[in-house]
Amino acid sequence: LFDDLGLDSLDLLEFYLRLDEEFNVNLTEDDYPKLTSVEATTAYLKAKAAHQ
Amino acid sequence: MSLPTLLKVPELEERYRKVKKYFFLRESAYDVTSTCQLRCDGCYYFEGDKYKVKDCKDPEAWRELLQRERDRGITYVNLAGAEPSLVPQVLRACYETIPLGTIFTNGLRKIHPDIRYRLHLSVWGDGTGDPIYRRYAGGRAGPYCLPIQLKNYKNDDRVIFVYTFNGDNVDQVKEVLKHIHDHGHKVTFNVFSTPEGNRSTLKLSDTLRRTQDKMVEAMERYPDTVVYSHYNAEVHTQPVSLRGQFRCPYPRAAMEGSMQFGIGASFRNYQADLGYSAASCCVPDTDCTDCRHYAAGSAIVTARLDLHTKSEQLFRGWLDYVDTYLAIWILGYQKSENLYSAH
Repeated sequence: LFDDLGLDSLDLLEFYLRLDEEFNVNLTEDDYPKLTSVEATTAYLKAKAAHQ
Repeated sequence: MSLPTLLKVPELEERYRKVKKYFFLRESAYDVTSTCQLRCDGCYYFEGDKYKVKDCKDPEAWRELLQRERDRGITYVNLAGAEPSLVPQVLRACYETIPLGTIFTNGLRKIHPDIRYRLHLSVWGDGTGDPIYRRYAGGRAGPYCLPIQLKNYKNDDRVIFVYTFNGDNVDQVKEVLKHIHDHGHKVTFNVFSTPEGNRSTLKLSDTLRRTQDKMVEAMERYPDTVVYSHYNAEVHTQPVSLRGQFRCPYPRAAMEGSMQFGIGASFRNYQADLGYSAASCCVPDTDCTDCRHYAAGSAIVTARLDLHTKSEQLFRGWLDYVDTYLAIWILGYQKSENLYSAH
């Protein structure tokens, strides 16, 4: 995400917080390393949705 | 609470905007020499094997290293040691390549005023304690560093003093604060953090609460001199270490699965031979279960916005912590009034 969108480290934390709120996925810090790109984030959300 | 809700409070939104501008910084650390005049009890540098390397003394080699570092996105350098002031040409080469950073020094030798890095001058106690905790390399009692530091760095705006509280010097801070205040300098606080396997008598245990009280007392007595916040005082004096409270993003901890994001992606700690270990952190060989180090906290606490949006009070604490961190590390940054009040 740093490279895809040019985010700084605080942008990234904001992104995680807003993602959690928007999609209600109970994101934890253990999930952060999985969200390394836009593609990876999309895949993560799809996987979460499939389990709900 | 959510971040958008918290940012509806005008003073919080204003402070958040103020500090957010600086999160573009990406830091790494560089031990620029393995030589020091002093041997401080529990010094992170002389624990482990770091000091056994063969120093690279060639400023051009350092310049090339920092050019490569700049190319990989590093915008801020921490120049540590042993004692960086002993290699002035290396400092100059670094400054000419990456001009944002901090030098950690004992202050016994003056760093040229053209090198406009932030300078952190370490203070370990008053005239009775400092010479005992910090001996000369040969073993005899060291100098009382503070008077020498004040003379070397009179009216020098690069300087912030860092008083390290240990298990023996809590009450010595009074004399030190007065001298620093009288000379128009600033001071912040560190907490002694024991290296792995070290049995130093300076370890804090039953003095943690008293240390917190002294920190708060100091802030109240010298509000324009002490660069700190109530929240800093709380988190750095808990019985549980920083890592225990917030987990740790440095590569050394991240490799153990603690938290693999943030600073862990880019931080390296280079040794004086220009090599680096993949298991880096800003205070390698410190026992993570006793880590309350101010430099570590600057990355650990600031990285956890997510833990600090659960209440307005916590968010206020986080904003104070980041504001304090920037004032300590960025030359010219002005700290604002603290927003968080102690319980």
